Amino acid sequence: MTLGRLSAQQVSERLAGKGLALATGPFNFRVRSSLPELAVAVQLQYQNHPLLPDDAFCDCTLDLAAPSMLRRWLRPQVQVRFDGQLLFEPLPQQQAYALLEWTMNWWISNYAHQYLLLHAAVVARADGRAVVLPAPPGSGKSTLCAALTQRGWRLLSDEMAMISLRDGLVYGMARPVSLKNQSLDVISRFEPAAVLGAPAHDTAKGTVAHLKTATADALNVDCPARAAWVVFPRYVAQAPAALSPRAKADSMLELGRNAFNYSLLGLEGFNALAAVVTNCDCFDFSYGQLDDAIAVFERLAASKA
Amino acid sequence: MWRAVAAHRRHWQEWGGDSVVFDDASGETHRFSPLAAAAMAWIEEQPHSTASLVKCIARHLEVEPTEELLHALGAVLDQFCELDWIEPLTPAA
Repeated sequence: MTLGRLSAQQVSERLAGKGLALATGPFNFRVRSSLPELAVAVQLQYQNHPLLPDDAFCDCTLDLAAPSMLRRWLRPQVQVRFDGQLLFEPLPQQQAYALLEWTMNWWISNYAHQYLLLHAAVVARADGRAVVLPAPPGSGKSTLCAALTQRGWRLLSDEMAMISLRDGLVYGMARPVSLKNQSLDVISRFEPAAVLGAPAHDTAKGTVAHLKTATADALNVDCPARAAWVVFPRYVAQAPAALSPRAKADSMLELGRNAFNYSLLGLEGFNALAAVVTNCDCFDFSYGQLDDAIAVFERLAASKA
Repeated sequence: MWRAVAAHRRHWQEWGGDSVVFDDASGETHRFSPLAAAAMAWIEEQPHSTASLVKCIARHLEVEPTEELLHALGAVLDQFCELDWIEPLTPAA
């Protein structure tokens, strides 16, 4: 059963009661909150994700609530608790959904050490070959990832490549792509049918909104992929889309620098990352136009069986 | 003469002359040039003097054993010493 089978009222009631148990690939999250705007956002963004029974095991339970009664009326805020423990400073309540997504990322990066966690977007072809897009903030990673998902590439993650230490495959969560500032207009123009949630303004990252995951991607959330390419993207205004090979050793070091837990995993992390790099063609990629970028990725996918 | 220190703690991954090494002791990953990789491989096999390393590496990389190679190798050996990967082999007391 998917969350979309519930009415808006049922979603609100579950959130305010025992919580919504969401399956996002390898992890189950239980979310509890009585904030109406959070209910609206969760219903929109996770409409096609599997919904678990109320009493299902969840890896993580998150409670989002206003910090005090007074704050309900005066500059309302939201704070989040993980398994009852308060995390982070309160944020303006209109940022509640963004806070939920950030906290889910925080939880994964702090607890999911059965995976090598790379700060990278991942999209895949229908045949299971994936491209890993590691890059620091501001490089156009999420924008490119969002655009690719609007042109037939399957979303695994816009933020974290989860490489299993058990089988070396890349696991995804197909959670909504987080877009910021100018990227929101860029994607809206690129694909007018793209569904964006309500923007959260004045966050630490500027204005943030999330792109709803395509139905098929959410339904295939449990299908891992095999990394076939590592592409380091960089947005350069007006630049032609250009792909250039990158040495594997250098790619590996850069991936390690972009990892959340590479150092923590020690030799296991080294072996997992070396296997990814060995099995992938590695490239630097600069682009100025999304259409050109998509064409390059299509050629890339066609060039390697 | 140089000898390798705790070779078992280093884990190499090589891609056609392009290589990285993971050091168990520090948890750090290093990238090495073909020269560095060859030097470490020779030293791990058995202790070598700098002069004999130059000869081995020149033969292995099919280059002339020039002064330039000697200087480059010296820099590599300094780096290995700093990493505590090699040490001078001193006669037994």
